[in-house]
Amino acid sequence: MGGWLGILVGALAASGTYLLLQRERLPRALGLILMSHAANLLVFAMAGGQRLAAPIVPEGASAPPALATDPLPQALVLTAIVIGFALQAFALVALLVPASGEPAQPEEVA
Amino acid sequence: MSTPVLRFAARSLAPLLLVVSWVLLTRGHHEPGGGFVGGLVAAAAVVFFALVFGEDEARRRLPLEPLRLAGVGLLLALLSGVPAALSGRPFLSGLWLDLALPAVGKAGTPLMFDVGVYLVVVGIATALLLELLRPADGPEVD
Amino acid sequence: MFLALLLLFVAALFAIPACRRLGRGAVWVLPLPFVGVAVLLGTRLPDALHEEGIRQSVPWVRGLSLDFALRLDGLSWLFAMLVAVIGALVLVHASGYFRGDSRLLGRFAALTSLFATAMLGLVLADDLFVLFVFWELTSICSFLLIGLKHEHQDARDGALRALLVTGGGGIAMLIGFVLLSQAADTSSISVLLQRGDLIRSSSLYVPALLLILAGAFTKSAQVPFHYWLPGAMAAPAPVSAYLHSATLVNAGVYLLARLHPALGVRPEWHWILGHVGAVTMLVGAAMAFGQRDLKRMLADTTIAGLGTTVLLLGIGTATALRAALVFVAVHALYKAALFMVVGILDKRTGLRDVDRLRGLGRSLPLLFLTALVAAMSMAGLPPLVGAIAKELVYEAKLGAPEAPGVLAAVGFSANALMVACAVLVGLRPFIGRGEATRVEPAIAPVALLLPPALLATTGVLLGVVHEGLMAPLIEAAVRVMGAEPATAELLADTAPTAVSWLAKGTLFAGVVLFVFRSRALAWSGVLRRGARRGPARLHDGMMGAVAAVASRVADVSTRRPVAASVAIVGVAVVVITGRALVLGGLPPFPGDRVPAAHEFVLVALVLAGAASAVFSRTPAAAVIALGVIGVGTGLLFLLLGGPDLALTQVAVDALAVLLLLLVLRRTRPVLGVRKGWLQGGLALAVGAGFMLLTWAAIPDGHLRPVSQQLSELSWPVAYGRNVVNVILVDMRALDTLGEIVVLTAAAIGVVALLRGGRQEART
Repeated sequence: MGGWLGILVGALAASGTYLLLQRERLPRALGLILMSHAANLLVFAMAGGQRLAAPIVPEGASAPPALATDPLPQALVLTAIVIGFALQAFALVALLVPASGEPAQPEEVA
Repeated sequence: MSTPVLRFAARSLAPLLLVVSWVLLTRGHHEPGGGFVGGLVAAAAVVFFALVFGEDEARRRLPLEPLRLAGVGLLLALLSGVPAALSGRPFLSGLWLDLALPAVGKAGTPLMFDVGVYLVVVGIATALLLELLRPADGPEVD
Repeated sequence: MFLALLLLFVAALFAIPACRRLGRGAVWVLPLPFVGVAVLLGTRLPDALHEEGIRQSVPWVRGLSLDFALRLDGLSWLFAMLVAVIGALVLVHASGYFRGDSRLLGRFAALTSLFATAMLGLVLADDLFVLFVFWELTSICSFLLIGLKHEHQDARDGALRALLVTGGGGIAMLIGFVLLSQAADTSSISVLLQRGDLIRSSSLYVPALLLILAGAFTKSAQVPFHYWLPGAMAAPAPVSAYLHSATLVNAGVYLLARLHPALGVRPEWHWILGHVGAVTMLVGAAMAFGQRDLKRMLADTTIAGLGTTVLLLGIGTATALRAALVFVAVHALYKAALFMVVGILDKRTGLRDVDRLRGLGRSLPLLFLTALVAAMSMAGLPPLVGAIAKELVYEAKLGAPEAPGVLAAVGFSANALMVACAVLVGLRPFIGRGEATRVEPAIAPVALLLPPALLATTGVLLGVVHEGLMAPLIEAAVRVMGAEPATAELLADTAPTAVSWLAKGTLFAGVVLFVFRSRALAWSGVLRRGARRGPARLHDGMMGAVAAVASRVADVSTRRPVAASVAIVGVAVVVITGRALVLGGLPPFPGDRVPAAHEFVLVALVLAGAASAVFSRTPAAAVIALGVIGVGTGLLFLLLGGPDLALTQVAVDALAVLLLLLVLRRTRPVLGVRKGWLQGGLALAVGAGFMLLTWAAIPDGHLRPVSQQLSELSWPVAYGRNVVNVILVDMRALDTLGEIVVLTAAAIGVVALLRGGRQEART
């Protein structure tokens, strides 16, 4: 299964790069999102890339099953997904919402 | 965007989603879940409510403004590391109490940290999405 | 002592909600933590006066053997009390000053409490790097406080300038601290104070000294770093009353006093401090005399006062050290009072111009009295404690090992100018025949007036009863600074005639200067303008040059189409992976060639989504495609053993689709046709690189050692079954902490962008 995961990562990266190289803004924003997906899957691939058990300690045992995926890359990707969401929002708003000059009355952001 | 069906759905589902988000948070230490997912689901609950009843109404129902909620979460996460430091261990070491709280499970500083993460995620996601739900110019467009 | 810090920190946290709830009642609550700290300090005084004082420490960074150590001795007690007492009074004063604007008061109180925490930590710190942390914290708080009314441009400018100057000095000081800790083989202040000879004979002495002095001189506004202080007058008067008279600006002086046993008693020390101090003293006094704005005048006299203190520390005799400490305390008392007075004047009349304020004594009698008493202390008029300070200073100058005559003369000139300023502040606005300046009705007279009145009264009391109260404290502080306390008395009663003549002469000369002010100003115009403008212009010039270089670099690196930047990155990826492949050979296709049915479906789903995202014709289609990719990826995570990831991915995907739709609704962008064969080629190359990278990255069955260890510890030690979660919130919680900070920052950015845009759309 790992090989197909690699193909997937490659496809996502290719799509993302292609979109990032476009002239218009929306495709570029979409390209960022696709690259983000590609990167997440790449790091996740380092966790095993096969159908293995989840790294959860079963009842009665004191360690996860021997053939379990690697929890460390998963932890990395988990935060990456959420941060990616926040950055997606930032990129989208920065790219697409019309630029404004100095605001008339600066508001407190709270 | 509100029809009677949607209104009913939102009123019933939003609290339900909040409960689910809490469950996800508290079970996270032993089963899949945790502060990040919990926060996202809670944010989804708020945003769903806002889609139907309006961003204003949803904001009113929040205990704090979304970014302040995130700030509280950060503070909680930071403070969860202090007990360890005070007892001579490195900052943010996990310290656990021997009792089990109802609806939460075993209590300890990692749980406090996770709650902080939960609040931060709810706060930021809600802040982003609610701000986008505001009408850009003039009355509500849709 | 940790308790004191905690008290102030908690005060900072609760200040804003407290002000919102309590409104006028805040005046009773806000100063309480400060009073508490003062009481705490008071109870520890007897212990603090012993040999080495009290030390408390907590291990902090074991790897660097850095302890979070605090030390309370005579020296730090003095400065700490200033922080606490004047802080309490300033808060009372501020609740009157900001009456009616509880939001501003809340911010002021919170920031001031935070600043006080930092300042207290600074003077109590017993480790160089702990001190540095608090030092920088005070700079940041000062930045926020000066820019309290951030809607005003000059507040922002003043705050930024202060931050740049003191921040730059702080960095230099840090390097100096590193050198010093190398020379002394420790970063603990208590220890390195005993290794003075070792430090002084080290080859690192001179660079360390210069760098540390840079830090001290920038903070304490010595020439040529003095120009930030007048700009900081854009801050509201209560801020200046606290920061720019009693606390922040004294940080540099404190540092010099504290490190005196380690760095002092070498010719370089004496030379530099002596010259810089003397020059600053003169320059400050001259600038002050020519000022019309009362607040700026006070700022300039503060510069002069700080110069005096530095000079005294440079002289280094026991008398000089004693004089320095007395002067610091006395200066804090009268300067804080005067700043508050000027603030009240500003509030009631709308003016700060000394030439336009007249005859207010009739309408503001109590204010007049307060101002007068404080000014008398500043001028050195007996029986106020300012007189004692002045005589001590002269005694120290005359007793200087080198050039006592020159020092006395310089001091005489500067002090005469200061006396004139004292008259200008404390007397002139209140007297005068003819039409008195208009006065607005009082809003919160007691809160506003009581603190400066108390400070002024203290000046009188201490002047009369100084022996018992101040002498033991000063002696203990001087002992800490490494000098032998000469006599048990603060001031030899049989004061040498020279000193008393000098003191009286200064008063006389000051009055003369005051009377002939306009003529004196005309003569010295050019000099003063140079002193005031010179360094400031240099600073602005440097900042302008930095900005110009930065924009040039930015142009070179970013003024090209985004596509070109992406292309560069893409080519780099291809080249790097290509080289790795050439060197290491192609990685094999990992896993089974033929996937199971459901695996294949998921992969095909995501591939279809990607293709659709690339070639979609409408924004809506692109969004749907992304949604599909997200769900597909989530299911893949589930399939391949990452349930937490699956949950998170699907949840994020739902919110992300919503996010996209909302943004698109707002902006309705156009989606043209994708084109470009060259782009396509590069994209395929990048994709191939990523694919091969993934193939190479897939592990061959065994867990990495660190992952193995984490998995094994998860249940027995961390009481958690979900290893991923345990890693996130327990084992690597510090990383997660950083990550949630990033989340918050991104959200703040988005909201700010959206709100800014909304403002624009409305106008």
